[in-house]
Amino acid sequence: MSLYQVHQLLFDVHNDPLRAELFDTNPERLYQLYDFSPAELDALRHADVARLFEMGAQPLLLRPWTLRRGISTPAHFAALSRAGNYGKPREY
Amino acid sequence: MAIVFCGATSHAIGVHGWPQLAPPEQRDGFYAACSQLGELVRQSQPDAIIYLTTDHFSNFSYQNLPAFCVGRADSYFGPIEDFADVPRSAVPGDAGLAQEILQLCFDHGFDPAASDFLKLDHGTITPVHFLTPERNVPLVPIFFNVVSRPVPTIGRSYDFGRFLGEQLERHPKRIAVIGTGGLSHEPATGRLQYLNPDFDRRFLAALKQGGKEPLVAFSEQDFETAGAGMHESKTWIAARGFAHDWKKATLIYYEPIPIWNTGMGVIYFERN
Repeated sequence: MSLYQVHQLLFDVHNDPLRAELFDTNPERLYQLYDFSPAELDALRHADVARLFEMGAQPLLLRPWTLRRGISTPAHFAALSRAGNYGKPREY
Repeated sequence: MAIVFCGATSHAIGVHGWPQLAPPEQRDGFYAACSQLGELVRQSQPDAIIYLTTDHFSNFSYQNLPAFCVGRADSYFGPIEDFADVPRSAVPGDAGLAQEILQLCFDHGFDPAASDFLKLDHGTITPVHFLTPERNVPLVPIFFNVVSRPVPTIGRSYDFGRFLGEQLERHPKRIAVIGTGGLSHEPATGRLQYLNPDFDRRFLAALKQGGKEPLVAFSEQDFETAGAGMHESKTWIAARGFAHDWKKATLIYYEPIPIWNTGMGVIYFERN
């Protein structure tokens, strides 16, 4: 259930100015503060929105993160629509 | 008479985030409906406003997602978002009323969480901006978890609102109540701009009919089918619970506005 760590990173980047700044300047240093699986870390490093969705990441948390990554709105939602179940998180 | 006003309105980040993208007649219609709601709220001269509202991961993470959480701060800040036409500033809170609400709940079988520090995102600030633009009426936000299953059920939401309404009916303060959220929408998913106007209209008809029964006739799966964001309408259901015995409901506005990703409605209830 390490998806929790992904969610917490997304939440922190959305809400904690210091972690958001670290994300902007040194994301690898930020990633070290969490306990990701190799697949999660790879998806985060590559901003692979579709994979993160398929892992079950919450879309309301992913959107602020992709905005911060500079991913355009069309690109973000195109990635979601490629994911299964309309990109709904697994708990939906 | 302590509950001096009760109503509900949709919120959507696009209302202030990208108002220019909505068809002008729809945008202006929604703004006018909110202005009307604001006039009615202000005419009721409330000492405090209870906002039945939802959080969009601005406060609660998967570390802790309370089903209900009562804000107990003297002051809040919002919105967290940067909108061109909405000031980012403090909103006064009524911590004393919040503490009374919490005690009433715990004395009578409801156990909401409490928080002395909460930020307000568009979900709460959208109605605050229209109803009390001077931000001069203290509020008590009561947050409903609608982002992570399980969420409060339709029946529980109604009972929670009805309980609070009955308890606060004897309160010396003049209290207004606003539910904010919904209607049908699917925020941030690949089904963006999915709305379900037919469901919205059936839901609004049930809300106007009054009482719990027409609302619990909907299943939780019905709400899922109307879009993941439909659960935000549990705040409307709780508002209807507050107004359990009130006979009249006036729907000021309803339009599905896909570019705002939400079925946009405004309603209020009257005693007779």
